[in-house]
Amino acid sequence: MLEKKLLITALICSLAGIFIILSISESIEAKKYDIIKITKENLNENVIITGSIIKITETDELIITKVKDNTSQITVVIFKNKQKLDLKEGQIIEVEAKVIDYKGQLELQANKIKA
Amino acid sequence: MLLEISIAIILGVLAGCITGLVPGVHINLVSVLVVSFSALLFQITSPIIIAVFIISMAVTHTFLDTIPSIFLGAPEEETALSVLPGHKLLLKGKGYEAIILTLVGSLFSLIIAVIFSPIMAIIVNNVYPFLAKIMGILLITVSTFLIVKEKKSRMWALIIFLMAGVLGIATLNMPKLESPLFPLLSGLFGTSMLIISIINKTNIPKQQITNIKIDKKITAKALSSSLVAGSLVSFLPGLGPAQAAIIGSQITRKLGDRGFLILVGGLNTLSMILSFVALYILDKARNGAVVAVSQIVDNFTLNNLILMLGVTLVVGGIATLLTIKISKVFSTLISKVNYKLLCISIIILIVSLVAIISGPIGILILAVSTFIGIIPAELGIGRNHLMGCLLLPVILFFTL
Repeated sequence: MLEKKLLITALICSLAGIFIILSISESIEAKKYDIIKITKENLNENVIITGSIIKITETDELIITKVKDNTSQITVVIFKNKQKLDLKEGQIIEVEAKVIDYKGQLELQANKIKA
Repeated sequence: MLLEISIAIILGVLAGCITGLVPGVHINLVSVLVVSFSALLFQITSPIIIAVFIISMAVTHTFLDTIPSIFLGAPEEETALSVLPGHKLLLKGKGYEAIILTLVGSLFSLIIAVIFSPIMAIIVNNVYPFLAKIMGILLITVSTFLIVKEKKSRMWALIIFLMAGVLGIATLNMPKLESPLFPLLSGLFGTSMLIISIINKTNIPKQQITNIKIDKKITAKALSSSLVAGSLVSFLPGLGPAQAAIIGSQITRKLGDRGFLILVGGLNTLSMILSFVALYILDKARNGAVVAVSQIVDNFTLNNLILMLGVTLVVGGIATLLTIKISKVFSTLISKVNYKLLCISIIILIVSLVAIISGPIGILILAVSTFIGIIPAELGIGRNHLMGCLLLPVILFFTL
């Protein structure tokens, strides 16, 4: 029957899709880094850091924070229209962010922040 | 990450079931809502997971949206042309067969899209400037051919084409009108057909769940047309699946009603998937769901595209099973309901949705398009000329 053939094809499709997802998800998943280990080789990669906020500056569109862990510190830029957060100095946060180059300095552009 | 992807796929499939089965609720509406709430969602999950949700919803929608189109006579732009041959089969007690034919198109076009998308992307990207130059002439030729082919009355075919075309131009250029295609196509292909069914006291015969056989040659023709026409509309502006169906049916002739249903089903799914490829290759978004993904995911990388293609394969498998099950339920129920009452309910639903989404101007457009949509049926002329509502604006877009 045609339906049986469709279901078998659908099953093969799904298995192929699962295989692709399993293969690619590791390369998409952001890896945890010590701040000191983030270098220019990580440009445009998504990384995860954990640290405490040592400085917060706000503009109309951005929140610019300095985050420090045991190894170093880095600037983390947060777009206000993408994140609605109440951040305070001294707060420990986990940040998933893209590594960017801003005027020769490495910074992180936040995708997701967990307080 | 895998758990998040799985949850996003399940939620996306559920959302796609709602948008696919409920007339008037489109994935663009849900995609816009997701973008509006993205600031909140980013606290829970990452952008790529939200993109997985949107594509899961979009692909499921393309599988299921032919069910209300064929069984309830309530089409969207993408499924407008499926109403005509689909309704013919429904009146013969073969509504389930019509759905399965579109499902064949959807599933196999999905596989073809995943396999051939890199090649199609390179080809279309290179021939894009040439195609844009001749598209106007090509569409004029296709439209003229369709009118000349009309057996009953070429004059009336031309009049209907031009009336629908002028209405299409006016509607698409109307300022501050939300979702202009919704009242336009609902009237031309949906409410007009429902009113005719009420007047003619149409009864839907008992639907049969039969052993369906398809001609392999016709299926191959329909799928190859779907690939060519679908690739064009995924990468070129101003064209959608409905226009692609017209072009596709002219690329390979003598498809018949069954082949045409495979073509329409295939185009719907294929153009959605290739739109994501166009986002990666051309950095251009060609439909609402892709626009939402481009706003949520800043940098759409090759790895993101490969993940999306993997997700479409999984969702295609799930949606195939859902389509078969749900269409069997519809087949069982449709002949048990009072069809006149069902038609009236659908008309009320469409009018209400048009009023909410498009406002009073939308109601006016719905009324006018309904009256125009009734004319070909009363004259015994092909309703395909009503596609002038989209063809004429696109011809002018490419020629002026």
